Amino acid sequence: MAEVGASINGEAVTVDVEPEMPLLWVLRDLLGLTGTKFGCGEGWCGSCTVHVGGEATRSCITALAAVEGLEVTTIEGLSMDGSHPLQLAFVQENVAQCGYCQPGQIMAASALLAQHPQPTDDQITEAMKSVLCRCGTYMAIRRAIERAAGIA
Amino acid sequence: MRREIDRRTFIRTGALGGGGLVLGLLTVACDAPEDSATTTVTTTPATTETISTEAPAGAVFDPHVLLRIDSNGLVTITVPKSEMGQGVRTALAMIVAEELDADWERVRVETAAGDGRFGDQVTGGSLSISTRYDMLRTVGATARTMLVTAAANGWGVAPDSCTTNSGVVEEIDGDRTASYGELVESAAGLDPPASAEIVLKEPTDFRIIGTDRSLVDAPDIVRGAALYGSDVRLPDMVFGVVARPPVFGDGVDSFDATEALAVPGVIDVIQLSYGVAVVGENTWAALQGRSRLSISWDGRGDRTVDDASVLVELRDRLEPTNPASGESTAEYTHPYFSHLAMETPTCTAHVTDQGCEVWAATQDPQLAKAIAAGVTGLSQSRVTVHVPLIGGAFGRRLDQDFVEQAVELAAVVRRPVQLFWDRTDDIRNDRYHPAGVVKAVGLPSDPTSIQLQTALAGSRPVPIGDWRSVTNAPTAFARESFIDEMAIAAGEDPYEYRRGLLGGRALATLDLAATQAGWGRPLPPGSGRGIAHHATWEVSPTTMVVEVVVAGDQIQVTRVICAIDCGILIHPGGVVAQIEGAVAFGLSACLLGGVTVTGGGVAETNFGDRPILAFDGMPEVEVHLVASGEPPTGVGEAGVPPLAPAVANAVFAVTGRRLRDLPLRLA
Repeated sequence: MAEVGASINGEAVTVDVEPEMPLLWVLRDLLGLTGTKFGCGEGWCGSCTVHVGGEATRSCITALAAVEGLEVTTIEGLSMDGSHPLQLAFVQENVAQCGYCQPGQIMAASALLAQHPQPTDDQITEAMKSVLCRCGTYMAIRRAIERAAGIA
Repeated sequence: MRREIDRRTFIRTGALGGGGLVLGLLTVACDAPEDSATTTVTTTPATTETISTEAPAGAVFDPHVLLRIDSNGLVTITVPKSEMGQGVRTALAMIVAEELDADWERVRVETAAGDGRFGDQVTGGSLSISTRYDMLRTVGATARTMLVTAAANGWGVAPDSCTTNSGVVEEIDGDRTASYGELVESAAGLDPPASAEIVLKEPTDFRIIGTDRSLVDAPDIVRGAALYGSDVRLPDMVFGVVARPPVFGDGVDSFDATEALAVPGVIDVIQLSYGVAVVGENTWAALQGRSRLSISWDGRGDRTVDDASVLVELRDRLEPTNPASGESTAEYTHPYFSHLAMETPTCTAHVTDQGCEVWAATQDPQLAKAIAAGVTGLSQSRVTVHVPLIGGAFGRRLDQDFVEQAVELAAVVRRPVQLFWDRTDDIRNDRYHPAGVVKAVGLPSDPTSIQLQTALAGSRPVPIGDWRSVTNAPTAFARESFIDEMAIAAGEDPYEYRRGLLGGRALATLDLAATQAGWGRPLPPGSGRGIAHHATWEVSPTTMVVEVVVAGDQIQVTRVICAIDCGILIHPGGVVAQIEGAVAFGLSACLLGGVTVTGGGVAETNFGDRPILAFDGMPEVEVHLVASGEPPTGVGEAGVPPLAPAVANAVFAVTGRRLRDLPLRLA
């Protein structure tokens, strides 16, 4: 056990756990931030995507120790009230079916838009191709990203 | 700000943005009586209203178990089906709201807990709308009739001199109005009207049904606030994982828990009927503990079972075919398929001497309740089954194994416990779509002569279950592929050949899809079209035209044109979403494949060795909805069966090679 501190959604948080515990479980089980989802535990699916220092990061394969002193943003912290352009666009485009993967999709897409506010088709594909959705909302995800970017 | 957090205080972390909805769950007592079991999994459609600001105020008008109107005008509709991505919480609420003439912005939706009062709560077979359409309309219309009567009584006029408009009763030839909220108290004192007095709207007057609405859960989903089965967090909760046998039919012979118990955070190691559970203070501790278990399995499972042995057995079950002169025959096969919903079948339960409370993202809460009662020995009246959102199901959650296992663990642990499934648990312990062989025989000159013989694997040793569209998928793959083969043998165009087989609404979808796809129009070299038709469960006729590009041995599906007639459209955007989803689901199966059975178990472990369709594999999907006044029929499964044969037929059009085995492989 060791104390590890990080900024989570703008709040300084210290937890006293095994430093190798994946960030995903720190968020979900210790902090009650269940918006970040488990999908595979091995980095394949992207359901657990959060931002670490602004970068889309798979929290299921990121040890808590690796984010020590860094800024972590989860879906709960993307905006105060669901008003991030992507959150609005995902609602307006009715992207979700079951909705389970959507936090990961939105976090991956928001990291993309932060880097490329007007992404090309290929940039969207590259950023989103490894965030899986079993319901098949991929077309709607692309529409929502384009809407949020003001491209569509 | 510095914050110290341990597992006993995490429930108070609402300030971080989580936990708010969860706390509401705690108010339901373990031994809640049968009639008080409605979950607090609530959201508001496209508004910023929250539970705390919309607490029931004053008098309540609840003319039906599925409907409540508060004096502040808030309409609460309890949906008796499980939400798993098919949009049922939105669509069923729209039906009630339509006939109630409610203000949609003032509608809140709850999911019913498992309770016989709600009627059949099984969510499956694409039946939620078709079996509930008339009933839900009647619920809404009954309440509307009573609200109108209440207003008319108050004004001293005849009810037929009043009308309604979006949550308000209006005097037709006067200027008096009363909101539903104002009428709650007097409406609650009325006797329900005789059924003859209840007048349903003419479909031409619909203003909610047939329109596109924001999903009621969308605002919560995009904030990470929607509550799925695995998101349940309770005070004093612990987390369990189970080491299950690697071979179907094996049991535990012996195990050594010494190393597992030494893992920080591991609380206990417990032998259960289906494996060895490790319980920890958090999921990670439990997983770490499980990886340090040393288990000897008893070896009772049959290690000779594999895909090849299953196929041999299936073929043995088919009658030998002896094609008559001129007849064609062909055999089609498919492997076991897994569901692979993004959320694994995690379930939470709390068992005490007094009762059992379960949070199960299940498609069958009443069966879950009966099973929990059976496991605990409690009467069903002491079991509560809450139904959070399901993070994808596709039939997987019709089997209650995951509930039974969680309750069995909770009965030992005696604390709230979440039984977590990791992805390998899920893939290797699914209830698989059974592997199968379908043999077709027919006379090409007579397309009506086609006959199919089907053999699907039984429930042992590999456990089987329901998988989106169930038997429709193998039937359609064989029949629609074989029709193509017959058409080619007869020297006819596959679309024109099918026109001779179909009529009425089915033919209309065939013609619409072919027209929209530009059937017959040339495509670039290396590209081709295939067509297939199927009416899943004999309703909702659906035709797909698929365009593929073949490069080397790679098959890429680039475009899918779908025409479907599902009767009156409740939520048109929802129908389109279901077809897009079915295309993705169907392509995963027909291009990427199922699971591998070997040595008596399943080989695959995760999305690395069992991939599903990703963003860059999604074709353009165009959905054309046939305008219809027929009663509504299901769409959740309709898009799956025609997809695979349409792809196979397109591959034939490009390559001249007939692929009869799923997944489709050119190499």
